[in-house]
Amino acid sequence: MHVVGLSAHYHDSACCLLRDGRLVAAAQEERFTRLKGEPRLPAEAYRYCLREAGLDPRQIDLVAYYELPELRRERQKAMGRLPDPEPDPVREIRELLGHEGPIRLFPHHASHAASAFLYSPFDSAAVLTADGVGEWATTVYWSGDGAALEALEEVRFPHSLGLLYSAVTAWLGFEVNRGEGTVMGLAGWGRPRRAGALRQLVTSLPGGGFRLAPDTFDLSHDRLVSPRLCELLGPPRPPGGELTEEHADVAASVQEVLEEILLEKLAFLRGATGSDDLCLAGGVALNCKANGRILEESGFSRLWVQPAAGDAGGALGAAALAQVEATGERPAPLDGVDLGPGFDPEPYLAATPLAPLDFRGRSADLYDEVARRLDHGEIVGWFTGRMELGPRALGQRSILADPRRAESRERLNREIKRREPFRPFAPAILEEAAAEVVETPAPSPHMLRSHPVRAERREELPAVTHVDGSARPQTVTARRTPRLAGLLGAWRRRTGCPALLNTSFNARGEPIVCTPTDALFALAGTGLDALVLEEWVVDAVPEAWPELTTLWRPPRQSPFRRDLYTF
Amino acid sequence: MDDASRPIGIWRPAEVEGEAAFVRPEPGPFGDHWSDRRVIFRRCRREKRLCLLGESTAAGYLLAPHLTPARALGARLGRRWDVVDLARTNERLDGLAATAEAALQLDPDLLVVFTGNNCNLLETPSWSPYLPSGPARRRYAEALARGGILGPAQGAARELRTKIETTFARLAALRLPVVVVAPEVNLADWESPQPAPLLPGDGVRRWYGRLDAAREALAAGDPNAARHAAAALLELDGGACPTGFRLLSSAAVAAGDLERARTAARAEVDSCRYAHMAVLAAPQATATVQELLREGARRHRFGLVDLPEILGRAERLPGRRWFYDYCHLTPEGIDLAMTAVARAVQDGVEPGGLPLSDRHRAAAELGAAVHGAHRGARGEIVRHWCRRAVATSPAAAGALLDLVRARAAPVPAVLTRAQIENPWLTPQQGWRWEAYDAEVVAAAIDVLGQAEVGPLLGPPRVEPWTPLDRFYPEAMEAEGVPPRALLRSPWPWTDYALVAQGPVEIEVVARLPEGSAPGEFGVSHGGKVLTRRELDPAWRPVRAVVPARPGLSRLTLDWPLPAHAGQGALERAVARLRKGLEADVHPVFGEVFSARIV
Repeated sequence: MHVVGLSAHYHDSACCLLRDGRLVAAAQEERFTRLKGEPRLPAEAYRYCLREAGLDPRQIDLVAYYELPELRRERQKAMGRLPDPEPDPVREIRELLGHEGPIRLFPHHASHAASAFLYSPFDSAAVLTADGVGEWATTVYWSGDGAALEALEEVRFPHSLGLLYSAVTAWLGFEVNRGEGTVMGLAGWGRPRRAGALRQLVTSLPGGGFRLAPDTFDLSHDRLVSPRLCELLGPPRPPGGELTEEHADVAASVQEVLEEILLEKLAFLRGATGSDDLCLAGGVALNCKANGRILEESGFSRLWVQPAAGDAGGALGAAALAQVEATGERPAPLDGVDLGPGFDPEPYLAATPLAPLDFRGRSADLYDEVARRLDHGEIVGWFTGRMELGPRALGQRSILADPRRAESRERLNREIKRREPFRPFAPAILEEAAAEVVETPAPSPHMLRSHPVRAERREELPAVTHVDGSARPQTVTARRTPRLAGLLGAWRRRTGCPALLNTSFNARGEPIVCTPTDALFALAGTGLDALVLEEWVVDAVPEAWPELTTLWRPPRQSPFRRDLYTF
Repeated sequence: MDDASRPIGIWRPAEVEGEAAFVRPEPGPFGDHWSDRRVIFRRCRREKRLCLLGESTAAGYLLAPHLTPARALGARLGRRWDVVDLARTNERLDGLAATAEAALQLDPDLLVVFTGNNCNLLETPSWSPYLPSGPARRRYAEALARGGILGPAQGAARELRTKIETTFARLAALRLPVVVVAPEVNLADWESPQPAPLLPGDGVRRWYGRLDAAREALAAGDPNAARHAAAALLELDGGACPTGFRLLSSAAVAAGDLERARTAARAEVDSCRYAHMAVLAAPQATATVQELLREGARRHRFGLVDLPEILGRAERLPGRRWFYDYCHLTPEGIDLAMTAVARAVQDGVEPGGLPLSDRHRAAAELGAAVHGAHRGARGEIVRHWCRRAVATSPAAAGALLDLVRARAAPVPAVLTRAQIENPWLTPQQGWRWEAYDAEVVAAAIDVLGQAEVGPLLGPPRVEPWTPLDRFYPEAMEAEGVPPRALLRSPWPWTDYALVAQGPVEIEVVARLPEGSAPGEFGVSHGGKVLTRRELDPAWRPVRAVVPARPGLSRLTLDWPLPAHAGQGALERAVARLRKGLEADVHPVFGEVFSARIV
């Protein structure tokens, strides 16, 4: 049985394919269209999924969509923000994807819940889904058992922890739906001195409920910032304006309030389900700082967070729900997120004027060479295997650097990622060495939790230790990520250091690279010192490339992308 | 420097050698659409100054910077005049008027305005059934309901008239003498075939029957029969489609009647309207635009250089002698036009034209082949310009081979060794073209031979012969239009390029559009049918063994002609548009999910 899952029409559209209950392909549309957060129906990702599985459209038994469009439309209408033309996913799945078979629609939060629990290793678990808003729900408490998910309680729009965080994100001058991670990073630099002000906006109710003050947001525009928020926090920071200690305090405060309410409500969920295991999904579940605290303080002994916890993961959840509905069987547990396309870079390289170093058949030499370069302070693009699903690069489309050098972080933020200097980076550590670096050594293969760095390691690893002493580790195993594990081994042998800095392979405003071409563009357009393309190492590009590649893909603003082509 | 200085186009106010001037940034590797003149001093160093404004034709596209209309005009006018080139590729009327207003800072004595080719495509983009805007689609629906297939084009024409009148009023407000150059287009060579629009009853089937009849008659050397078939075809579509006019023109040429050929070719241009265009066509000034320019010139007492009349005197059916493609002028075309402009500016012109090296001429010819192919030129035109380029300068052969290498690579041309290292290849040869370039590759094989080109074709593959064979918003990736996972054919045939090392088996996953009755679908190769089978509106894999020889060849999918494609189709389109949904105003004959070698 072949089930396609889709998410679209808000941000981060994605497609996945389940073959007899096993995920064989999944990807976000942005990776193909190169438009970050691409919201349109994932036509390219759909084509990729079918190609990867060797299928044509008639072999797809079912398409599952991650939302109920009618309910969403009802909410948009109530908000006075109905788009024109209105998206109609069912029509689009027929007309744009050419799907002829059945289509099933599942509620947004049910899709999130399924994306977490049904792919988790747990037979039964408590499940929390929390985001900005689905159709009407913003937070839902679930009990998962076998292939079944039961909603215990839900909180409805506009009472939303995700929107509260987004509103403060906007107040801090960052972009809603993109800047929340920045706020989380900024939070480490501040103290929650404004938490009291923000607490005035949130009223906890018995059970899982909570309410936000009715004037918390201004929903008439995308930036959400309301007069009440300004009354409580002061004038908002203009985008690009100076960042002060006060801003860091506000970030720390919203983070604190979020963690408080999550911990309180998880206590309710734990009591309601009696489970020791917890699954999380929804955009709020990408808050790794909160996730770390949840594991440590909520009383749940095991935590599983859907690696693509945002809307992209909704595609996986919808597919899982359809699978359960059709067969009664839940899908196989997620075994890694390298579900995107892989490439043989040789023909790509052969067409270029590059002179790459060839390490084919000499993996150990490749690892030694890359370790040597990293040890000399080089920052390296790392492109191996199939592309990851979700916001984290986990060793397939990564940028790697020496975590012992503070300048690695500075250079990465300044020259390569071109983002705020306070943004932290994460370490990749061999799973067996994790306990040497962080205080909670539970496996964290998807880089979704923050933990304190061991005190004796903090000074040694300045590029991956956040100002608050925490890190967001990725634990690496040779089974799941053999090349990265091989490199970590070589790195450790050479330097004695168990960790490497690992960040996503993209420049500011760009999606993570997908193809060797994207990686070569990134090499040309950023300050990367070298690029590893599978078993080749490229360390220099022609002088003209940076300018050429920047101009070749201009911002998509004109009615026609190729307007250089004359009219 | 005057505080009140403001930019003129790309030129920014600056002080140069102690003088007020306007300075432009260095053009990047892809150019920036403007002239490469670095500094324009505010004070004219010659007796008089004129500013030339316009679109790519006025900017000398393909020949610039080595030869441009501004330079040719300067040469014809002599040393008294400083000609300031303010023409810009992709210029629109608003931009042109704004540049003219800013150019007052240069104290010009005269403006020359050479515009009109962009008025069809670029000035009325909101008149599209695909534009992702609910209100625009509802307006389109009402125009379609009131005026049928031509209704939206009439709405666009009204909007265009207002724009041109507004532009002329802005120019007149400058209180400067203005010479308007009404452009002519390539009437002989450039064809703008469009598929049949939605026609009532079995009109679509009959339309293609008449198209076949006209083509067969032309091939058989029977212009009279071709003319009759073309006229019958036009009767069906009411002149909404350019295809019949081209057939009429070709029939008239075959009969030796150039006057009728000219009239029909002009009608072809006029009927190729953005508002109901199915596949991308080239920008060309319509007769309506030419007349609006003449009318504006008369009303505002501007001078007029009437290129349709001037070129018509030189050649009744102007073609490749004057034009590289649909509207861009050759050196001979530029000289003819600018000599006429010079005569409108002053009595007497300087003799002789501007020199142009063989290399730059050959590069422009190569550009004509590639750019033409990217705008839908038929193979014969692409081959002509490739051949001409190689004849003009044998070094063009190396550039053509590098083009093939760049197109065969899996990386974009901009990253390829071939494209980067060959100084012949410029953006005009399609640096940003992302698709396979079958028409150019085929021309290269034709001109340079399979032995030379064959080894460069890259791995076996099946690619669309031209991505322009899709509906134009999809081909152009119009912003906001959702991408499709499938290709829809607006023609009853779909061409693919097959690159193979020998015989291969291919698989096409295809279906007919929703609501179609089952019909016979065929796959042919080099004109020979490989397989036929019945298709219906459900996806089916169709396999065929292709007896390909090493190299590039053409695979064609032949779709059945629906018996009643147009029955209620316009009404359905109106209903969709009224709901804010995009709608086709042309039939879809088939859909392809994938075509590949198995």
